[in-house]
Amino acid sequence: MNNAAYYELYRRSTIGVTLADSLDTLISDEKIQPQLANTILNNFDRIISDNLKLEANIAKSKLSFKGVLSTYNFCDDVWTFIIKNVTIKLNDISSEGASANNSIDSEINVDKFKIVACNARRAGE
Amino acid sequence: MSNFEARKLYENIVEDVINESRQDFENSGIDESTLQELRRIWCEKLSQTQVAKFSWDDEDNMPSSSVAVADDGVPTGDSHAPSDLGGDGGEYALGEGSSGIEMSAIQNGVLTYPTVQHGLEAEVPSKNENTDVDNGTGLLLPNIGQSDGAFEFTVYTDDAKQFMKDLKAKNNGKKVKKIDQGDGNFGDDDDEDDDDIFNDSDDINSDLDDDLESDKSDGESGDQEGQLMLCLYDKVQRIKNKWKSNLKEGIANIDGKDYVFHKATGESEW
Repeated sequence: MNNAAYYELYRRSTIGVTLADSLDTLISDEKIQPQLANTILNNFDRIISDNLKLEANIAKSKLSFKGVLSTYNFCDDVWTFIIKNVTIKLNDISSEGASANNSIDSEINVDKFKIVACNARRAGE
Repeated sequence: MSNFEARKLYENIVEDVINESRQDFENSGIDESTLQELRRIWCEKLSQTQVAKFSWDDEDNMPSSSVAVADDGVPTGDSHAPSDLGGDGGEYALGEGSSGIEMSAIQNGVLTYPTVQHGLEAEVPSKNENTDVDNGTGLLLPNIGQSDGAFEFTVYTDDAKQFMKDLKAKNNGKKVKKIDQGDGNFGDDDDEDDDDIFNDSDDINSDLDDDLESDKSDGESGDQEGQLMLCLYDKVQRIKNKWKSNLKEGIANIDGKDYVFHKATGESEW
């Protein structure tokens, strides 16, 4: 990738993995070339990054978590944390589409939580 | 917990990726139907993960046992039957015109067969009539949301041989029914190939990919245990053993559901 303006990070999300799977299916059916699949994944990188920005007006919720930091790692400008016994609070601002019986604030406890974070300021900037 | 934002985000992304990839498909000489197929497979796989409820799920989960896939590859919930299965004993007349069989009444979603009283009659439909009959079997069967066991019914006919022949002939050309399977692997997927995409994508040779490869084993390898959050960081601070992080624009998979957030703050002790 000569134009590394967008992170490939989100390919690991559910939507990214399922897209990659789908493209893989098409490749093994010989319906598309791997090259085209790569182009689509690059499109995906750009689209998901743009859609997650506040300007896109989709992701407005706030999340906070508290826990025991088990592992931290900083490599190539990427932070990786593994946090244990985490309490995650999600403040869901988007009440519009959610049905009324869903609470706005919610709290989840998980044993193990992994965070992979790229620098918000891109390396090139 | 509501994860409406994730649903909205994912639906937007599917639309955008499909629309903005159209040109790339054209440039590669791939036709529109393949693009639509990509979309269909993608939506299907997303639904299987059950990370969120999607609008296309609503269509698929119509009270119809046969989810038809339209020719253009767009999944459509093709509801043949009226949806008032729970109606209080209304006559569930299936015979349209002369071609069908009149089935019995449905009470509270349970199909009963008062065969003796009604004397179920089946006219063996002629070939020509079959063409405009649902299910392609010449029979208009009720679409029952039955998932356990076989669906049984009795047909009385004068010409059993011909009737069976017609049924078989029609069944041969029938598409495989889509099954909403929630447990285990989806049969016709090449699940073994799932890892290939990670190997394939090595071509890109980015640092992130290396990361992705090594972490895959404990990360996303299964949504069931991977509580994984992908995001950007603004600031990561440490004072002695206390870590604080300001994160943004992320997607988190928690307990099998996906959530998106604009901002996240975290505190943890090492």
